[in-house]
Amino acid sequence: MKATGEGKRFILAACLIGLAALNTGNNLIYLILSLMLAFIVISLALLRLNLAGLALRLSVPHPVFAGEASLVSLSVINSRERLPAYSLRLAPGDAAFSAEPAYCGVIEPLSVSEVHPRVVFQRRGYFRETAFVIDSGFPFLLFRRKITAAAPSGILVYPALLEDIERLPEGSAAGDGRDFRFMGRGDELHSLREYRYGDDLRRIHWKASAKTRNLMVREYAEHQSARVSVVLDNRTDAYGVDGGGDGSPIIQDETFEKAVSLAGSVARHFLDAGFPVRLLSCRKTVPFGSGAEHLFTILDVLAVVRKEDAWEGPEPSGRDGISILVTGSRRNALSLPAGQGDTVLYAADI
Amino acid sequence: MPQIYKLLTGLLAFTGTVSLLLSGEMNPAFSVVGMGLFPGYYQFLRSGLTAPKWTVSLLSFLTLIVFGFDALVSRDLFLAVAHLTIAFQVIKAFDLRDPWDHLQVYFVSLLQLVIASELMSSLVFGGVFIVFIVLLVAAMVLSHFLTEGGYGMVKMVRPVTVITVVTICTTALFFVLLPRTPYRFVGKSHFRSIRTAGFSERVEFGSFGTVKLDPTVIMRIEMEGRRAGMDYWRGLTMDFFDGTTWRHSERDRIPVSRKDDTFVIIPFRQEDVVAQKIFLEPIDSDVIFCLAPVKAIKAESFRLFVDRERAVFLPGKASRKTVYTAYSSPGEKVPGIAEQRYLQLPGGIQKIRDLAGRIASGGSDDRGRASLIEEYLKKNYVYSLTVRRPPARVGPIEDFLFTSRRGYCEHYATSMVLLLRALGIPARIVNGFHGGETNEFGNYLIVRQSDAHSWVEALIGGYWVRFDPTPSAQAAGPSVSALLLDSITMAWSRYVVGFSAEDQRKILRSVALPVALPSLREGMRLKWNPYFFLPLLIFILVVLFIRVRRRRAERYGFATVQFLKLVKVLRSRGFNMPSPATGRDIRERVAGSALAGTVHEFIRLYEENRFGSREVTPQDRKRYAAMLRQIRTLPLHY
Repeated sequence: MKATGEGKRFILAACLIGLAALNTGNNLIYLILSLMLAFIVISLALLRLNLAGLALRLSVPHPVFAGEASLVSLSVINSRERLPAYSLRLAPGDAAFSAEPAYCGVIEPLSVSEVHPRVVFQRRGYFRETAFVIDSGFPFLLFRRKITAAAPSGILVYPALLEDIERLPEGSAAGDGRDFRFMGRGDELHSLREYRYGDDLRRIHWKASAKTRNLMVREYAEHQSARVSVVLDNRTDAYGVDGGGDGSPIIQDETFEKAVSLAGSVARHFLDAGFPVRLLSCRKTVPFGSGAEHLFTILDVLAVVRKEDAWEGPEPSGRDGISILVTGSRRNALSLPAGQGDTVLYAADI
Repeated sequence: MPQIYKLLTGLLAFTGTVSLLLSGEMNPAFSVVGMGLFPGYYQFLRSGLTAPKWTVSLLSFLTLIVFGFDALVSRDLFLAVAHLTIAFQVIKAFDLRDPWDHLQVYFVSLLQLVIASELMSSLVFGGVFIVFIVLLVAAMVLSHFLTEGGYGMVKMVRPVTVITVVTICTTALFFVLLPRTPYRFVGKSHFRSIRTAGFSERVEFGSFGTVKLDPTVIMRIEMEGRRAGMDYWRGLTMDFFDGTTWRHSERDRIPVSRKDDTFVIIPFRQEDVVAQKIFLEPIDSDVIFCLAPVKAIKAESFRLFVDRERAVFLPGKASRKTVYTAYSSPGEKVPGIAEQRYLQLPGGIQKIRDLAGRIASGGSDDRGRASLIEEYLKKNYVYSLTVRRPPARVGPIEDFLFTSRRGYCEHYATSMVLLLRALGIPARIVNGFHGGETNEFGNYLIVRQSDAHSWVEALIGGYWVRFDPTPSAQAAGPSVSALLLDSITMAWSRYVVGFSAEDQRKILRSVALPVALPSLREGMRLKWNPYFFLPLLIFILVVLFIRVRRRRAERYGFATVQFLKLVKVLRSRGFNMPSPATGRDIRERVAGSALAGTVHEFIRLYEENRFGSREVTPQDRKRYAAMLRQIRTLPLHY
């Protein structure tokens, strides 16, 4: 309970009138003082009553992705039998998400009022409850009271999915022939590009270089018919960087979250292209499948996946098609569990 | 901005300003300034336009100059502030831009009401105050919804009505409970006291004529254990007459010691005295009135004085309405000492001496002679309030006695005193009030300015004896509606303006104590009084009931509580229910009755809520209540 600016002025005025009443002994000033005290007491009492017996329920009609605004349905339930609830403001009560403020004018006794604010969850995960602050200044705006109410929600927030991912093998799933072209491998000329430091000098395309007056190198690609295994390296070690006090690495949660997002994005990329995709991680595996529904099966796992101590899952083999390994940084490149990874994506590079 | 909000702001400004103007203490120029509210709010309501900033600033600057001038010239900062608030309201009427401006208007209206409460205490203030509460609650609630963005989403009538009623009740509660003192510590009072005649130490002869037609109420009196009649409400005595002026020559005032809140003048026994609770309006004298002889006065005051003439003075009461209880023993003889001042006569009254001798020639003793004089004056003179000015070099009493033979109480009483003194009988004039009218609405006595009266006290046989030589004059009584209005005014004076710490104590005692504590003299036996106990008992039972219901709901959960209610209702309807009863038991027992369908539905809902995954929704709660109602009222058989 907090006095507003007007409330503080009102209390000050009441104190002054109280002094005047005491000084003069004038019952009519006592009457005015009584009115002011009544305003204060009624404000406090009604605020308490107004926020009692309220419950919240949150439901989401659409999948929710971390960092993405979603329209949610927030139900405010007045379980009191006789008293309506007036003028309620609803705001997020948890740093895990942000939401635009919502307002309920009145909720009749034993009734529900629904508001539809846009909510942005900052991180993925399963939210059994979502805390909202219910704030009211009813009836006179002299005081405000806030209560935090947990809305049972059971929301699974999926990791944020990235739109453009570089270095993914290009693939097509037209007809029956699902195949890939892996950049930088094989002997089929894929494209020409400008020379970069470190490129093999033997790949310089002299004719094109002469034409463009810039050093151009050939890029090759290899076709591989495959299913896709998205391997999320969720070992804790994969996300450590040097700098810990006793020589131990510092674990970077942010990089891990990026890796999870990346894994989901890769899965979506190939599922959108029509390839069967599976997910491998330390402990959890989603078998091959395809279609939008399968994406959400993978995302269900990714929404709650955590770092683990060791790799206990299956390792991708050549006959399972191509594998795309998503891991933390190059620092742990040698300790990759799935050495067969056709492409390795580093979350730290994003 | 909705029109209703603008209108409420205007009405609040108007109410505050009117409360000041109704006090009658405002400078007439500011009454004219106050009229500026009309064009201001008319324009605001019609177009919502406001005056240019520079105009408002200029007017505000001018108002401050006028305020400084006003305070300096009138030397009354209080009234200057009152004038300033009127000017502020008018300027603000042309400059209402945002919600904060509206709140400023509310605050200033409140200030105006506070100032008005120091300037008047009539019933009008009560009316203004109630209007103010209603408007302020409506405006504040509306302001809340406007600020929050909920205006238009909520029907305002219900919350405003409920909150207004609750506010009025809570205000009354606080008014009763707030600790208070009747004393003024700093600053002077601004109450305008009623101008009276005859209660100062020097009274011009003829001054009563100016007040005898004035119906202003001076006091209202509740008598305990005695019905008020044509009583004499004694005030101040006059003992020195110079032919045109009466004087109260007794200057010494003796302080009366206080025991608890009672000033005991003469020790008395409770059963020997008549208690009169008197609600005295502020008058321009600190004399108080009561039946004679007075034994004690109960009043919330630091000091009380009497003099040797048995006049009672309550210092500082002139500035406020005063409530006191006088304990008197009418009929008891009052001893006196024959002093020379009671025989003082102005010069040149030989004709009066002769007249006194002629009138009293048949009297055997002082009492007889005094009675003859009283009788003579009553029979041979005409009561009239229209008295012509006496010719030059003729005194008013000589003119009354020998020429005009018309006059009012002052003429009669002065004449009698002079006639008695001429005969050597010590006598004095007593100014006070006589009679009054009983108001059946409230059973109290109304004493007006027109009841002001002079009578005579003569020292006969060592005791003061009252004589009233004025013939009675018939006056038209007030109408029923006037009496009804006066009873409301009395209630206002009694329970609001005159509400005292003693009243507080009485209320708290009756509410808080289930037993009436006797006074110490009656010992420490407690008297059982069920009427005192009843409100407390009801309160405790209500609290217990609510707590038990809440505990039960918390312990079992809502659905189970409904199920238990169902079992109870079915038992009350004659079904033999086992204890504990299961859903199957209940189904079996109601099978075949008209209630079966509803009971089945009830149990299905209960089982879903209790054992299934279905949560109790508000709709479910309503459904439970509706089904229980049906089960309670439906006939058992088709």
